[in-house]
Amino acid sequence: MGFVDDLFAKKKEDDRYKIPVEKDFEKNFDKIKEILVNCDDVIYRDFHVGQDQKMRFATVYAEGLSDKNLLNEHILKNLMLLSRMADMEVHSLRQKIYEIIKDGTVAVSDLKEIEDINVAVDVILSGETILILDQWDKLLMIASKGWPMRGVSEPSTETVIRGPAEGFTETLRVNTALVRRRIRDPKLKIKQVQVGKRSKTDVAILFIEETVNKTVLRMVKERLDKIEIDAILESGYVEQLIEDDWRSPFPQIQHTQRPDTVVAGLYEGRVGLIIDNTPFALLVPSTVVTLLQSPEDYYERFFIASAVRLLRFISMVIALTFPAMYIAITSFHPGMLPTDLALYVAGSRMNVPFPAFLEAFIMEGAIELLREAGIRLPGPIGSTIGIVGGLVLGQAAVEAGIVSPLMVIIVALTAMATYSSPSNSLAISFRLLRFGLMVLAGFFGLYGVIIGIFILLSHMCSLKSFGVPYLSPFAAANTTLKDFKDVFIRAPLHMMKDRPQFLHRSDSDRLSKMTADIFSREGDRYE
Amino acid sequence: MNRNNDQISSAQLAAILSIVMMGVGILSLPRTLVEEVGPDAWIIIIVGTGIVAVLGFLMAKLVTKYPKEDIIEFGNTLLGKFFGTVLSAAFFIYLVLFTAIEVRLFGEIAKTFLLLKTPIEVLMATYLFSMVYLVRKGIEPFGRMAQILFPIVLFTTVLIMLPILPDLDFTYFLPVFRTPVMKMVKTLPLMIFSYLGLELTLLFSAFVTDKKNIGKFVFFSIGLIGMVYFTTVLVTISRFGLVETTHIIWPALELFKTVDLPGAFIENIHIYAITIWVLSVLMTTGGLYYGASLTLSRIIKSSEQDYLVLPLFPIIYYLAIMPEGLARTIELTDMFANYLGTLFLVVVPVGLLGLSFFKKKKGGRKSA
Repeated sequence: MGFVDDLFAKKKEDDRYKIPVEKDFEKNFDKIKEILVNCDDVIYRDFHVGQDQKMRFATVYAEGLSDKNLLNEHILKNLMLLSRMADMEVHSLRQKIYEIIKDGTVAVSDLKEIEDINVAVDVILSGETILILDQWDKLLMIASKGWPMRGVSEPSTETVIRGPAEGFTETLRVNTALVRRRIRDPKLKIKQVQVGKRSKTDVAILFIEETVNKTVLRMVKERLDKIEIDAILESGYVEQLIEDDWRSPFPQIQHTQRPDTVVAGLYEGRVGLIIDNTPFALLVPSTVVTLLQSPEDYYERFFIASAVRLLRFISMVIALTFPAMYIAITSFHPGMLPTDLALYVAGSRMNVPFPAFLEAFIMEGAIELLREAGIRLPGPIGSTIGIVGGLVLGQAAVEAGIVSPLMVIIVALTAMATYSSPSNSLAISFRLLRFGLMVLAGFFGLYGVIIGIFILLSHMCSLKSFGVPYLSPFAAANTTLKDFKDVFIRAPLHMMKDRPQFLHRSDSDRLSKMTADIFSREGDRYE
Repeated sequence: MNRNNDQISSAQLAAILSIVMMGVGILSLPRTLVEEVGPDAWIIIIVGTGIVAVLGFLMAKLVTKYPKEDIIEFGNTLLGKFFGTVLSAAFFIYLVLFTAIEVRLFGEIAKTFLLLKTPIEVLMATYLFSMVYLVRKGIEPFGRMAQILFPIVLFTTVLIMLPILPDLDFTYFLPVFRTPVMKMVKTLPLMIFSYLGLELTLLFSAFVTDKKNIGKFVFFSIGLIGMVYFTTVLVTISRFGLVETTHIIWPALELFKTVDLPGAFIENIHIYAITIWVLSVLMTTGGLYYGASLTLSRIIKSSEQDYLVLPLFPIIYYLAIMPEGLARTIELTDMFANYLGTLFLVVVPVGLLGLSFFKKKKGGRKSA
């Protein structure tokens, strides 16, 4: 309890920059106008209230960010029309007017008093409405956020066959609601901080208090506090600013568009970060294993899920090493292949004018080009490019004798293997590293490949994501065999009684003993 | 140390020790043993492993006595400042020489089996260079590396050896006890020296978090490596026979050349075996290299070792290319093992442990 409160305790505000709200209506009104000068999207509306029309009120809001309907129907109408009808003594009214307005007139669900003009300006720009009252030293914030937003739709990345089809949207509140709907536990905490000096982007830190790893939570908070940047436009900004090692090609933070992925992470004891204005949420800490997990693994029955898991690990090896192995074997160790195959490879390469290294580079480069072009072009043309580039170019290149057919097969296989990764960011890093390995293979053959892999492994071993070794649970001091239930295979749910150890969870039981027993022999016997 | 980078588990220590001990020795072990004692090599392995286990027990005893200290620190406490520093300096030189020897042997083997035309200098330089990154990163990543690679190396070795089994001829070992006992005793040191690397316990155990398990895991790794040696020698001799084994420089590698996977897509399995072996020997050398840089940083009382790694690079490289030819290298290796190996594998742990009993009595009286 105390820990979370301490961590998120409000820091003492700096009074130097505070502009206090004064009693004088004009002064307050002018100050806000002065700060928001030349902001033509901010609308000021001042009006008179009461039977005698002697009190001056004003609303200030940013057009397009506030719900105009709500403003007209429930605030202006109440204040301007209904208050006139109310028959009240002027004297008693003077005393209690503010209580009456606050508690009885403005019919909106969320009201807040504000004492600082700077804060008032901030909330105006985030879509709330400010009500300035005559003769009162506080401003009233009326929650009126409402702007055109995209509805919850299926995520464009990370599609699954089975599983919820909801994806995050660009609005923070909608996204936290999507998470909250899946965790009806008061222990799910959503703490909001603002990052970015100008953009003042809301960042929500999500965690389940009893399962979260406190060290990770503290690191997240501290690193977020350290960010001093103008603007956060996408979660990628936050990711790059809080990750452990910017020199690493590997993603150390998982990003996802799926609420169920975030929720699963929270239940495992990880920390979620939802950033306003982007549908991509972040999950820390992340390891290679968590990046290779897809939410579907847990929805499908365990045989199929395990097989797919294994396939994914193999495909990562293919994606990383296949072209390099091709270069190494064809140019340095042709004897590794069976004689028939070696002869075939040599025969198919006979007319190719380039060394294997160059051939592989050309083809791998072409496929990267193709991919990039496919992304930039709109949907229908994108697939056309795929057909033209992949089929026509590949076929023509082989027929022209520029590359060997085997090379085309390997390039295609590598590309498929790369895109079978559930995490795009991991796939990108593998694509990049592939070229490094190809260079090494071109120079030293198999020895070069193995040296490349050794250096790569040493880098991955030294990498940590928020204190958790990147290669956990393969390589971590506190590895237990239990953790391997969710690595190469996905064990049946009733066997995964504990949360993953390597994430340093605090509350270990994922599944109650009783539920687990139902599936075991003992359970049957006692029934 | 910064980065909070100084904790490994005793299981990781065991993985480090195992992978360091396996090293280069395993490749020539069948030849050297058969040259001396012929078919009774397996007896030597069992007895030798037993002796090493005792040494490992003594080392574990010593390091658990000084849980937070490594050989430099408790060397200083036990021997006094001057002799302690001399011991540390000797240990540093020993580790540097050892690294250089491993690098040279690697170069020779890689040139013979992997890249025939690449000059050995390039092989050795790239080999050392690829290690620098890991060695700079400190003990935690190194422990994790060992944890990943050792099972892979062990598993692949066993897997590759399996298809040879039907071809084995165990009659080569019969009759047993053909060699005179004195000759066997004289061969024992040879066996013990194939466990060189065990002395790193004295250095790395200071990082271990669960000290009470050190003894258990040191035993475990010695036993495991003993089994690997035993199997390799057994299989090599029964595959090649006594005479042929003595004629091959690296019999264990030649052994892989004879492997034919039944119905396999891949031929010349030995290239894969050597690839895996490169990973393993990189770790061996890396462990020694790291040990050297760590010892140096402790001697000059620096809290970091990473900036000392690159300056050691040219020294090790120069030492590694110095010997002329493979024969001279092997000769020097034997000399190195006989003198410095004895010192750090046997004399130092036993001596320090003896001294510690003596000191403890004194210290006990003082505190009482």
